[in-house]
Amino acid sequence: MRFEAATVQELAGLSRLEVAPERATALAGELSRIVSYVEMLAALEGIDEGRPGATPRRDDVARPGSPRLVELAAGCDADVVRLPRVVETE
Amino acid sequence: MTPPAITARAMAAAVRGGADPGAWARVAADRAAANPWNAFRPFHREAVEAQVQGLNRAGRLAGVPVVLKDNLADEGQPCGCASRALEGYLAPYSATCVARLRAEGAVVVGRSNMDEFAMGSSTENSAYGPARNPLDERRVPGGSSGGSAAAVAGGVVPIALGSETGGSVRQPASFCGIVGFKPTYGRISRHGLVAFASSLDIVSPFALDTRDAALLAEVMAGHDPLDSTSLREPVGDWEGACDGVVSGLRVGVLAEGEGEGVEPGVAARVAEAVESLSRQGAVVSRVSIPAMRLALAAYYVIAPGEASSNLARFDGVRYGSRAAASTLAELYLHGRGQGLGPEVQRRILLGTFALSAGWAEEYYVRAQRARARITADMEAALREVDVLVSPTSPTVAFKIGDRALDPLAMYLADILTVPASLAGLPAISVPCGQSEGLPVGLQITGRRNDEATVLRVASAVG
Repeated sequence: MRFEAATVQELAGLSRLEVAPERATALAGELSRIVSYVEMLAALEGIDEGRPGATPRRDDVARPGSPRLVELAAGCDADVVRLPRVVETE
Repeated sequence: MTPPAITARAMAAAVRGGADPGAWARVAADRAAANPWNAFRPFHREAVEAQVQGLNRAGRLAGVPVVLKDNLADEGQPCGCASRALEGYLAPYSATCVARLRAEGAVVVGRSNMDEFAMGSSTENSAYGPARNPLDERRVPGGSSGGSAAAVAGGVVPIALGSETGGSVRQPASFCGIVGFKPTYGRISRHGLVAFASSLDIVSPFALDTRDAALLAEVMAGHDPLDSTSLREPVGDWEGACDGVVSGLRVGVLAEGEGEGVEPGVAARVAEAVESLSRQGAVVSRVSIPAMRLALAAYYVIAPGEASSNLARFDGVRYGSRAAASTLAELYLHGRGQGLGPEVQRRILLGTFALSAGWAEEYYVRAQRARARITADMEAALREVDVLVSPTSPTVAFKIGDRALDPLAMYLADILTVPASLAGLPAISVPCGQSEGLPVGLQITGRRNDEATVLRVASAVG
């Protein structure tokens, strides 16, 4: 598996992370190396036997938060929910 | 009165015998305040005095100073996980393990540096800057619980708490020449431990010797209804287990711990420790578990996968620093992008990839199968022998910066500790000599819920 900067940006979107373009290029190389190492998982004979039932999965698409959650929030500002302060500080 | 090389047992015995209950804690707090080895975080002296006033003078840890890793909640104190994302966050409650220590008279005198959100093997991935090894300040103390390991190895406190996910207590214990003990998964409550990979995380102690580690773990262990994965099995007398002899015990030397990458000096010290066990009557044999070679690969899929989910909560709304933003999406992206460090971001991206619909079958599901195989094979091996032994780490402590730019090289530091983590088995690292003037650790892994045998063998080594 070889990562490109665009793949990293797609993953960053799914992860809700802002990644600068130059960092995405570096991350592509790092992740490629790590995932190449991880691919040894395919090596153990018989490891794919007896696989459990597949889990249904959503498409890999970043979605906006639910507007309904914002509507239900006790305090909100535009689409940002305001939460009550939990720990009071001096 | 100075604390170095005095065990927690001796300190508590002195306090139970009438010594000033705050004496050890005040000395330790003053030393921690100077922040040697960049191992500590600021802690209020008033908080130490408040604990001393009300401590249990008859407790098993009466008056014993202890340091907490920065990912353990202690009510009213900062809990920053060495991350900018949690700057200024104060814990609203105390972790169960912390409450249990205090009930036995322990005094928390500080918090310790760590790799951000426990992701690392050197305590270099920290918003507080890298921690240093007290035995050689050019070198790392290991990680991710490196600050706690340095605190004990440097003689500031006799005991400290870290957390394990893939070896984050055993590996720094090995690098710093002290004892690090990971009980069976679920033995010590995770309530109040900031989650990294929930199927692997466990609070674990550091100590100067095996008996102190056993005592500390025993005090913290036991069922906790606040942790759904907490075990209900009785804990037993772990401290007493340190009195046992090893004659007749079957010790399996792991062939996978003798392979490529293990430094000759490390291999020699481990061989000498095994020879010592043999002289004491242990029956030594060689054991090979080929599936263990997949452990690191499986770990670096499963742990980042769980991390990508667990760390979603640091979104600037539920937890975490809040960035300036005009929309909710921007709030998430900016806050997480600015608050989380490079290694944490790398693992979140890796985990998101491994869990994505397009790749989960090939990576995450396969890693889970490997984990099941490793667990089954280790348990099968442990039906033939009582414990498995290997080096804790293939190398001695490396120099600060040596692996910082190569994530995969850093991950390989965990290659011998992650199998017991994936299998949820108890394991300990005890010092077994030096190589090139630096400590070497022997790792002893036992059967599920059989910490007593692990501690028995460890006591015979160190």
